Amino acid sequence: MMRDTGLTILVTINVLVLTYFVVLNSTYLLTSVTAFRSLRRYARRLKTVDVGQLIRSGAALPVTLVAPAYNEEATCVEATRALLTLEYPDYEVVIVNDGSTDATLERLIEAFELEQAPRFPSATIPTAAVRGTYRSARYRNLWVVDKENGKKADAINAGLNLTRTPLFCVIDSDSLLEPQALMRVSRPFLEDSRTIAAGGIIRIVNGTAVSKGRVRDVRLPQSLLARFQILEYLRSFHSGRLGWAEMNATMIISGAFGLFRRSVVVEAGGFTTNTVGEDMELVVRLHRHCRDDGIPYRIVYIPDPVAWTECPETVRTLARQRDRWQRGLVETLTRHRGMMLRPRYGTVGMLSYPYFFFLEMIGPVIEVAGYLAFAVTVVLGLASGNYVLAFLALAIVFGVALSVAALGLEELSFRRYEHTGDLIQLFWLAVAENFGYRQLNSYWRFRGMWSALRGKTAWGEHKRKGFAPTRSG
Amino acid sequence: MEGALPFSDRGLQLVALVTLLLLACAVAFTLTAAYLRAENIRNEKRWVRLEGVWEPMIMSVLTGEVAEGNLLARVHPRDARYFVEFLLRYGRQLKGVERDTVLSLAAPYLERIADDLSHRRPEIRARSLQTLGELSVEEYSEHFQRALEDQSPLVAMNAAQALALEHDPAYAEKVLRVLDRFQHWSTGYLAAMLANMGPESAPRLRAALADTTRSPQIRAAVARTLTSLRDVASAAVASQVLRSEDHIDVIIPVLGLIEKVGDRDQLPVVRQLLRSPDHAVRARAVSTLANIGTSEDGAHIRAALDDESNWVVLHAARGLKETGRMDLLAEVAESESPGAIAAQEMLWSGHA
Repeated sequence: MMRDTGLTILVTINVLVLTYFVVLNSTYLLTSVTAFRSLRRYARRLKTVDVGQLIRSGAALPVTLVAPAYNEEATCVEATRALLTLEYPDYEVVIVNDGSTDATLERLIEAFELEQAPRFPSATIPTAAVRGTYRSARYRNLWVVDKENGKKADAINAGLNLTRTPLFCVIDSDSLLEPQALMRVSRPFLEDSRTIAAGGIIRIVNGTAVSKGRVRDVRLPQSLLARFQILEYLRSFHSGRLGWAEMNATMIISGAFGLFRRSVVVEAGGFTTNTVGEDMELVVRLHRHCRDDGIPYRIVYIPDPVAWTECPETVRTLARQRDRWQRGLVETLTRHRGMMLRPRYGTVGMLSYPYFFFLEMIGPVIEVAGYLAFAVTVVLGLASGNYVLAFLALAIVFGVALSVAALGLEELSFRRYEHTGDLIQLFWLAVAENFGYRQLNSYWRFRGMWSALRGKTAWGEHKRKGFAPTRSG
Repeated sequence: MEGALPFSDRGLQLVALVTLLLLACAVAFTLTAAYLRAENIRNEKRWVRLEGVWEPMIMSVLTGEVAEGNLLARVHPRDARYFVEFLLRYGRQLKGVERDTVLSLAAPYLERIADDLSHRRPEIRARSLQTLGELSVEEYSEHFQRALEDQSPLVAMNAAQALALEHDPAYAEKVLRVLDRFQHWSTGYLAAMLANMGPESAPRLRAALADTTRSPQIRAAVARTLTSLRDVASAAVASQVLRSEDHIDVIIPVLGLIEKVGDRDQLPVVRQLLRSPDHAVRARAVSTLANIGTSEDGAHIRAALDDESNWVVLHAARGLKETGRMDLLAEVAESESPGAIAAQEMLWSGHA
């Protein structure tokens, strides 16, 4: 009797996992195919765009770049300098020092000759206390806000309060924007005034040579963990976000680089401070806000504006990051559960929300249960060798196919990894990541789910190394 | 089947089949990526080789040392598109005789570019118009005018942009006629495009501003264009529009127009808008009053410093600064007024 019950449970888990696995990977495949069409069209479209002409035309909408900084003494000066050399006709930079305990503020004061200057807020979103505002004597479009620590969303809101331009761009203070990135990401706002948010691609800077705030030679990093993440980011942005954007169902614009219409974000109440997934939460809330109030809107992802960011290179830091991302996802989806399968929320309510809920949020639980059930099945000899082999082969080949599809999309469009050796490495990584890295990721996300259920709110620290100087020779 | 789990052999066969299919996909993706890489490398090499041939010669052609024919003789028919791309770089940067030389070099190949105007993909048609627009609008003006009616707004926009740059009132008329097709483009983008038509088009733009059958977005773009053209004669039209208009997308840029080109005749209607329920309208009205108002408007601007909207307060503080009322700003800066920080900011930026 007990044996029968155990067997039934095992069979149920196996079937559930298999179904989940097929649906998840089929969705990935579908978004990859959609992304392929979209990327080809976009690449053709890009040839009709003269970014230089756009910059000179006087059509560009003024932008405020808001960069929250917490203990970023290693990178803040170079990253800020890079922000000041963007090719954009009319923009301000607001760095928000979010109560750093290191020398972030001192570094900025010294490097940019900051002096205290009053600045009247245009909005009044509540934030932790602002201790002072500074303006650079050398760069008149650079402002620094010094405030009590309130975490990232709170820091962005402080910057948003001081924003006076129609658009504001959120970036991580340790990210590097490519010189034309701002012009490129603002293009959807010019071509369609209903656009309220646009995101660009985030690429990993580890291993890549940087000098004077500009990326010089794109290379793969030494760290295997960082290399896996490069592949992951390519998959996520090229196949995932582009595919969802094509279906008008974008639910995430990365907090490391996103451009928003100020008035709509202020109307919606700014960024939510009691979540670690404030970037996704805002985008979902904007969908909800506009749909509920009958405001025509577009939220888009475009693949050519690039922000380069440093990824974790230690297992511990990466585990914390993934834990946080999963918690952010859980918090956002549970907060907006009213959108689930509601036709009034369009493709977001009917497609992307259920996808994120069932496959991305609950997925890690099913995956971990699946690994355990699979191990029990094998150990107890309940499945034939053929079954074990077939299932493993399917899992690996599916994973590889999706990764090489993303690499194909990269090669079709932007080709940032110009060294052929790096491209070959990435193909090899598409196979290698199936043996350990993916499983670890599932485990971290599972832990994130558990942390979310326990109400954990910590961010976790990511100690930056700083950007690598240009390679000599 | 040796295991106890009820998976049939047929199920296993299906899994194996799917795996093989996916494997084939993975291999196909890999080969495609490898092919694309090889193709890109080949194209880059070809481009470098062609540039190596053309680059030194074009300088000599531009200075008149070498005849155009000598360079054209180095252009193989299959490299025609590359050559036009190459010339585009120069076409954008040069003026006068040198530009004429570039246009003359491109002329034999433009028919091939014009053929793309019948391509089924809108991006290809748009690209073709863009190239022709850089090199020879006059020669292909019929194509451009037809493209204004293209079903793709992108193509129509490229045509409109090229025609607007020609400063020809006849083209301006045609562009204005199709303007409503672009109502979703940003008003700033449209205004920048329309401003290229130059002051000759101002009478038509004034008529478009007064035309209430047009969409508010288009009228807003027209108002912004007249502002950038600093068309003084449009102040009267603007004043009339403000009297009857209730769409804020129109009111705000029209106030901006009056701010730049208006005079005291428009003051009554601007003052009325200080009581608008919309804070953006009140803010713009305060700015306008600061620029064209009389001494009696100082009191209005001072009162706006106590407005519930921070935007209005900010515009009021700026207005006081622009009108030189530093004494009043200093007084507010010392007070408990909600506008104290705004006043401090203006005083600080005045000294910095």
